[in-house]
Amino acid sequence: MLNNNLMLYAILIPIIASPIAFFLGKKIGRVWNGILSTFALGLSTVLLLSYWNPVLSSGPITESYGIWIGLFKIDISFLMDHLSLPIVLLISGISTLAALYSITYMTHEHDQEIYFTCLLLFVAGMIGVVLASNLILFYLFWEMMLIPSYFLIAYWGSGRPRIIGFKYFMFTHAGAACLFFGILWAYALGGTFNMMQLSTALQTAPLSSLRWIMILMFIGFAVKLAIFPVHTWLPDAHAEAPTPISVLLSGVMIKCGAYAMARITLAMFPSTVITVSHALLILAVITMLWGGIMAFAQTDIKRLLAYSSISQAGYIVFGLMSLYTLGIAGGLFHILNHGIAKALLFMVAGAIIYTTGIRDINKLGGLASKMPITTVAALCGALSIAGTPPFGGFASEWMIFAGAFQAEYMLLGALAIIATIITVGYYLRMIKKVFFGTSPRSLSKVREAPIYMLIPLSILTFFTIIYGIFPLIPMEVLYPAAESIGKLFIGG
Amino acid sequence: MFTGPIDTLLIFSLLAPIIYWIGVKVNFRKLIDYWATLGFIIASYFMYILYEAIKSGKIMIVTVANGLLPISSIFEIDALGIFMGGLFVFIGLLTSIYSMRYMERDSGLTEYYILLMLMVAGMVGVVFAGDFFTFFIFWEIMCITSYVLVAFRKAQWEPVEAGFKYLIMSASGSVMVLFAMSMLYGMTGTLNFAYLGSIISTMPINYWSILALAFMIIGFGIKASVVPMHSWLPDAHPAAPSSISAMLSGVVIKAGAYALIRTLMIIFIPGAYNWQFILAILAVLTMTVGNIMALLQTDLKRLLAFSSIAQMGYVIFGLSLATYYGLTGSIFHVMNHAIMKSLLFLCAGAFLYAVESRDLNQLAGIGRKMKATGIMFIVGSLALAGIPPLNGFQSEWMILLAGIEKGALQSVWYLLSAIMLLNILFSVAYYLRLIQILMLKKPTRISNRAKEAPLTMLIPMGVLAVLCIVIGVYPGPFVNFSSSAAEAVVDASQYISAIVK
Repeated sequence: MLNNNLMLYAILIPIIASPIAFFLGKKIGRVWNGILSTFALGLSTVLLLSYWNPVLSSGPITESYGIWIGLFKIDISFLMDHLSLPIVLLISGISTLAALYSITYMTHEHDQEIYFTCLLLFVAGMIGVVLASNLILFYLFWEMMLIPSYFLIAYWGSGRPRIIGFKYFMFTHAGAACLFFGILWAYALGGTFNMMQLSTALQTAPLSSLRWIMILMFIGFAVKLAIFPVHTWLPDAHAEAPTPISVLLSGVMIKCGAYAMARITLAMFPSTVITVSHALLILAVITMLWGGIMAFAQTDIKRLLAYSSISQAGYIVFGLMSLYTLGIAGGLFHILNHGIAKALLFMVAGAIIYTTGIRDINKLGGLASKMPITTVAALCGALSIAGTPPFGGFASEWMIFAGAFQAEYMLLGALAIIATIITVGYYLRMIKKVFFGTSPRSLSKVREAPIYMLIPLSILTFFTIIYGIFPLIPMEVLYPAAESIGKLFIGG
Repeated sequence: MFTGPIDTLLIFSLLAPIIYWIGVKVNFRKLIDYWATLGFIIASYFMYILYEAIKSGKIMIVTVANGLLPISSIFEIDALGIFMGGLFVFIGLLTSIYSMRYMERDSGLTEYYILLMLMVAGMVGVVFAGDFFTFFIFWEIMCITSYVLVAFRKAQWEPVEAGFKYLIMSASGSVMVLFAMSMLYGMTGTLNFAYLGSIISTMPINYWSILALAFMIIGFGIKASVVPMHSWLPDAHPAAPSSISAMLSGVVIKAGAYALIRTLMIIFIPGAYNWQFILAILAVLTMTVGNIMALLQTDLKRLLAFSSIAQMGYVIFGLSLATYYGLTGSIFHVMNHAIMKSLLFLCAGAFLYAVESRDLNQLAGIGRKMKATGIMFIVGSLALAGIPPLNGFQSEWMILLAGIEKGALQSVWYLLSAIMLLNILFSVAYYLRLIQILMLKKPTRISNRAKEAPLTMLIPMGVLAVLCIVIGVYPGPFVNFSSSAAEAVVDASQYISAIVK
């Protein structure tokens, strides 16, 4: 029998561990601090994993912990269903690996105890966003992931971290302000913050207001997900953050935007999404192509990966906005696949930067013989994102395209497939320049990355392959979620 | 005679010179500091007793001077009065603890503590007063002590100039209030809030009552630093000693907001006088001007002072909605802003204490040297920026929500709420700039000298920082308290019927 407090614990464990990491950090040193953080996040992951069977067998689970703000009838409650389970597992799992990865990566950095404190709070915010079942709590966690990540970028970043951090903060916060206006407007019309009740309460609201609310919220999510005109913060922030944080930003944080788009934009405003979905599809295709083309032009390995994230975010939105079950399922599955593969690629980039100290792909070369495990991992990640069978990315991408064709968006579907060719192009270019060819003399002494980096790399590589060969394992959870969203649109 | 908290503070301030003399005799000059802190502790205790007495929505009436009812001088203590009074005494207590070390380099500490206690007594009297006569006496106690406290470091030209400017502007505000009072008395023959409320609301609107309303808004608006009557604040608040800046920005301007809430909601009821829109325009102007000016400052305390103006804009905006949610948010924000802004001024004081500078260029990177103060400063500025899960966010969203709800009736309020949201967003820019300069930059030659602040300064700051987080994470009870205070003014009939039988 399931103890009914586990979701709260899953959020609280990192929050409680963060002051411990801060106060004990100086005494116990970096390694133990990292192990403590890894352990705390791992514990959260295990707690969340324990929901797998109950959710599969008996559907959504709500946990309520009493009243939070009585005046507005806001209670503290969390929701775990087919949609939130895989995404929250992705978040906590990759965060655990990122914490493990940080142990070696942060060796030469300063103030590591604050680093781990911020990391833990950051992850707690992301887990909370996915589990929250009312909009105020959702927004609270949404901003809670912003502040620690801002400090992580502005304090430990490379390049010009303060300016980049400022840009990141202002962009996402402006998006959040739009989102927040939408949330409050929704309350003014519907009289509740609870996500489950709000979608029914809003059915009688005037359509013109609803459309504004939907658009305002969409802008908030789009900034987080870096959709085309509001993406400019991403290449800077993701490229200049310390690598484990890039892993979290690109791998999982932007996925919170995608999750929110499925949970709120699609599921709560079906009647208005239909009217704008075509425009959003076009936006998604522009995002794909723009990100892909810009990635081609990059020589900085992390910047290349960051642009690739923008491009892939376009795929996710493309899948979701097809409004057909298959496309939505593909979009949701791509959240997982891209999260894993991009986290993997950033870890590879981090391993390369850690061992060689070089970020420019033109100055690298011939690393395949020196770093075999890293090379394999990079290949798997790149091919997965490029949508090559038998990797995870293939499974999700064909579902996305199938969804688009099912919805009879022939031209846009074709453009999306062209974008995939671009993806293959820039990834192969990167792989070739970094791992093959002649090695510069300065790199002759390079060895394989240390063990704390290789463990997370191998685990993620394993998942890219497993999800490609056995896509049914995640689909078993995700498909019902996509189905319940898709049902809202059929005949609409 | 004047209820427990006020009596305590008055007696303690009267006895202060004797205590100082004893302190000199026994060669323990710090005695006066402990005496003041003790006074505030006892006042807080009495405040708690009062709170217990009126907790269940009762209204307590204390007669100050005898006389038949419409004329006599009384206190009428309701939930709003207790809420504000409790806040004043609490911040006063923290300030007096903080002053133990902060003011040690100054002379004339006896006067300092007497003025501080009198100022708090005055403010408590203002929020307890049940008629304009009592109100005005305590109002002037508060004002005059604060003029002197601003100019406390009289050897420098800046505090004296700022204090003089403050004196002139604030005194003209008081005169306007006095004039409005006299008009009201002429119209109704009473100064009692409850009688005024019951009479004015039934009278047809005429030029005199409109004029009285305008004078009230301007007079109290000066104290609450509503733009365009704000120009004294950015001079006076930075010039005062930091502990006093914390009092001024944290609570003294709130007395102005309180007076606006009381007079506008009880006497000139919104249903009859329709001041909502005009006040909202003033509020939006206030927040915008405050935020824009704050962005341009290089003096830490001056920046904080401008930010206070902006925050008062939010409070006034909540009031201008004249709805239950709006006033709840507004009153809740009064508390939150008092906590956050006092925290930041105390932190600024700690920096000032460490390196004797308020210039941001010289203070750069000081947070790396004073980690505890620095982290509390981060908490305070993020809270002021309205970032969840800190307290500023909780009240700001309530005000915004009330604005948007009103927008469903009149769509111009959508626009006004959007402007407020933009202002909050805008304000993030300079708080972030503060954090970046003070915490993330490399320390300068001056800030490298800084040492961590002493414990008695850290304790009040720590209490406030913890409150910022606690109210942000668990706002329930605090919201309930503010909503009961809002209830007390939204439904004026209760307040009126407690006196007018």
